[in-house]
Amino acid sequence: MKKHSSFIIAMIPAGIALNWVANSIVEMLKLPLFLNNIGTVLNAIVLGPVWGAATALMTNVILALIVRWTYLPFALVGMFVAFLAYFFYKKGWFKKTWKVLAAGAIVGLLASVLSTVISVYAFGGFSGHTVDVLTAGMIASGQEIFNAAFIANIPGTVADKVLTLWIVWVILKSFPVRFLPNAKDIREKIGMTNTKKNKEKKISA
Amino acid sequence: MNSLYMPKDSFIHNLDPRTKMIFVAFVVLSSFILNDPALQLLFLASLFPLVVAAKLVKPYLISMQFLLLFAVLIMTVHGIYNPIGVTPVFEIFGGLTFKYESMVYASVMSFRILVIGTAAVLFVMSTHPSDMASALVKWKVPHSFAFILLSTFQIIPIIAREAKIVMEAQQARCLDVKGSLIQRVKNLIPIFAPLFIITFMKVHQLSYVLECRAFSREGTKTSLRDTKIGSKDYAFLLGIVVFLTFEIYLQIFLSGSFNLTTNGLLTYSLIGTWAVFALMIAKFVIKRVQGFVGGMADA
Repeated sequence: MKKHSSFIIAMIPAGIALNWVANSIVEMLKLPLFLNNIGTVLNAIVLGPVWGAATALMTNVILALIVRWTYLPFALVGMFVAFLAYFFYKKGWFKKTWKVLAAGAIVGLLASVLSTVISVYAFGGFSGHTVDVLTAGMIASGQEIFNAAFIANIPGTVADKVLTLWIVWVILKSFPVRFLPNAKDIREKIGMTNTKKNKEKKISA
Repeated sequence: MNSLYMPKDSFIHNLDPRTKMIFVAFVVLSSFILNDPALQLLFLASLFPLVVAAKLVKPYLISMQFLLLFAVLIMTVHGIYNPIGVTPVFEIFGGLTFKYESMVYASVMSFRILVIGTAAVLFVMSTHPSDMASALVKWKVPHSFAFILLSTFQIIPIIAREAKIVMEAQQARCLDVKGSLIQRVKNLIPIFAPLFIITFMKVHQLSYVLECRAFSREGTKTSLRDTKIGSKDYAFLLGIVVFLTFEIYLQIFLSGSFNLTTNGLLTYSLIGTWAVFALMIAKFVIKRVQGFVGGMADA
């Protein structure tokens, strides 16, 4: 780890910038998503879970400094996502498409539980996004506050995390190896080696 | 990209960043100690002179607008629907009643958001990011952490520029940005893949540069901007300590002996937030209409 220390220190700001920039890309494509964990997941896989969590923490610190402080408590969600993404990556779930999508759904489900808990205890169930209108409507129609915030939160978060993991996986599969510090390990875990297709490719090449 | 820092010459700007960090921590702590809407409102009012002293009134009000949206949502929705409320206070159309207990709960929560927001805005707008980093280093925070904080401010515009270039290049190659939803989701890949690769290239460059300048060398590192704690900071810290003692005294010995929170205060603070909110919406609508009319005139 000592060998790559300056790479790690340069990679964390880049991950934060990716988290930040993803928002404007999604806006250009007019998709109802955030994708604001894409750099976190990338860093968690490439550098390790602790650095992924550090990326998530720093992202929210920067957001709190630049936009508004209410982003700060949600750093916990990002850190949680970083650890979960690394866990699924280590367990070898990043080999088939349906497994990646399932992992994304689980991550999204747990992340939305955590973010609901945070928003209920810190901000009375609101989080500062457009979803708040839905939450307020659900509370008005007789739901409990926690349930309303959770139900309003869950579809967006699950779709968001599924897409985040899927994009990172697809891109890492087609990534030039020379840029990755631990390329061999990542290739193995992502399912680039030992598959039939690849062996055939090697022979034909 | 700069943070919200506004270069001005004032008492607050000249304080040491560490003092201001302690101040933010003090405000967060006391917003939890003062568990009463009236006291929190008083605390919010007593923070306002500091904003005036820092000459930041206008940017402060602009950045408070969004937090006020939070307050309006929380106070309205919780005031009516929170199940802890028992005693009705007043009724609006359609048989919706605001209840005393839930209004207290909602006001405490929303005033806390406003109070912490005030302190955070005051800190961020009056502290240069480099000063913040060097203050953190003086507090024995690892130097790499401070560097990450600082370099992020510089790398965000670089990556944003690259993202724009990638998006335009892919659009020039017939990337469909107006297709069906699934098509647009698939389009995320051809945008993010080059962006990831560019990011990694930049990161490699940056890490070579860091190594060239002996970043991972052991020993103390100096900073261009230096911060010093002076007599002003000690006076400010003394004021904080006095205020904190007063708050704790108020909570322990005087709680229950007086009650400033009345129905009237709750109602008026609710109506006040509504009024300001309505003003904001009116301003927004007027701006929109003006833009529309101006656009028509241009056409």
